[in-house]
Amino acid sequence: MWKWIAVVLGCVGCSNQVGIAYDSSVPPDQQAYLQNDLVQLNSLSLPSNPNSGDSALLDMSSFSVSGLNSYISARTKYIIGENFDTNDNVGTIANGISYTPTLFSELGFASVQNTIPNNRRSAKLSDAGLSDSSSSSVETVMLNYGASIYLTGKQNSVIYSIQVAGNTITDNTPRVGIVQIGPGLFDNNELSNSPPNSLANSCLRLQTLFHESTHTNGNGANAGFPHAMCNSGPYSGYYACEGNLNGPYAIGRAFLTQCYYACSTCSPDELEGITTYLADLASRMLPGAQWSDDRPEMESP
Amino acid sequence: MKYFYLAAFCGVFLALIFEFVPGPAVSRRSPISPQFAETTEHLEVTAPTVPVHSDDMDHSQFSALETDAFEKIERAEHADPALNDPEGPPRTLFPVTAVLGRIAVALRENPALVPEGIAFYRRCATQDSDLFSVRAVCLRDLKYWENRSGAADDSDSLNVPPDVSRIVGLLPAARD
Repeated sequence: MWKWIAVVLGCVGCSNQVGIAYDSSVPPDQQAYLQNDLVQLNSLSLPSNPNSGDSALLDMSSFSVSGLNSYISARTKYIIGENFDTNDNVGTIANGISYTPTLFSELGFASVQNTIPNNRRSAKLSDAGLSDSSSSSVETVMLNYGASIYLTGKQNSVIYSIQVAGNTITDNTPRVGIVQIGPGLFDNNELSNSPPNSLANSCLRLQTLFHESTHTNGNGANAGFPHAMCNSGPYSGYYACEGNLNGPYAIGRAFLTQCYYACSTCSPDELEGITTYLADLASRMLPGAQWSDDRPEMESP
Repeated sequence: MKYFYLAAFCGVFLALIFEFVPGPAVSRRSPISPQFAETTEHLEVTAPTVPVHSDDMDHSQFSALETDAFEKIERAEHADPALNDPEGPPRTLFPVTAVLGRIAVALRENPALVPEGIAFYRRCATQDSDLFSVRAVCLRDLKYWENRSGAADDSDSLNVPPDVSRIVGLLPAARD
């Protein structure tokens, strides 16, 4: 009860531990669920050692709640709703830009290779773009809107701006950090044998947030860490697999594994559900997956 | 200061609403498009035909649960990924998840069902299916129950594709 009071009071100021701001297009009840998820993230009692090797994927020497918070807060700044209107909120800052993006790095700036391999692109990132995705028959779970618009701009030699939560954001990097809720996040992403606000279901939604946050990584051909085409299995022919050892599916799996161990309140059937979800994530990794440069690129406006 | 009290009042009021309104009240778009209706009627999680808690579950009821599991696995395997966002978990996976969860509960609550459970997991892990994720969960659970029950662990000698074993290697160990 008090947790929910804290959650909703938190929503009054639209702030949270990781500093994510919600656009007005996010319905209040969905905000409350997501706020609760972030509260749950902060209350996780993480195990001391299982799968500690995974922590390097999230730039941590060992898993910690503060480290998980930092990973999200560096990559997701805004959450927008499924009805966010692209036509009303996306504008053009500059045309005819010949993209020569540079990298965020403490070692200085480096040039970026922009040759996109034929076997790697993200159908979602390229298709979502500025088109109206609401007419799609696909129930999207979540979408990295900022990276999607950035890549569209890069393709069209345009730099776009986005009006979100009362701010005008220059979208000159996939790290701009704008994530869009899809209808599938609540319809198609939870264990039916567990309440929507259970820790188990919060973990599944948070896994999706870690996944989308990782789409702000990468540069050149790998900007946005796009998915690779699956060569076999139920997703064969779809861009729903992972060519990066440190890509979105890998990060999501690493986080959800920690949740599995940390969920002391999970029932056996909830744990089995998380395990099946983990197995699906693991099945997306291609045998030849490689560790990739995760530094995000940025184009000067 | 009065704004703080106003915000606090609104917060408490909304919290009470959330406390007493069940979770599914969260805003959802029309869950399924009409063109999916025929398919999704096969995908819905139906009311259990056997008790969720296995105190009363007998061997025939467990057998029905196994049949239910394989039916859902087959539907999941043959579902068109285009029916949902292929980036996310397939909608068809969750009914499988639910029935595997019920099996996990049943074995923990009624040790007499463990031999049948082991047989189920072995059959599930070795079935001719491209749904490697589910086969991997079954293989992991087979190892767990064989070890827990003291049965000979033959899981490594089973004929499963390398991808299934690779997925198992990425899964957390089963918890008691």
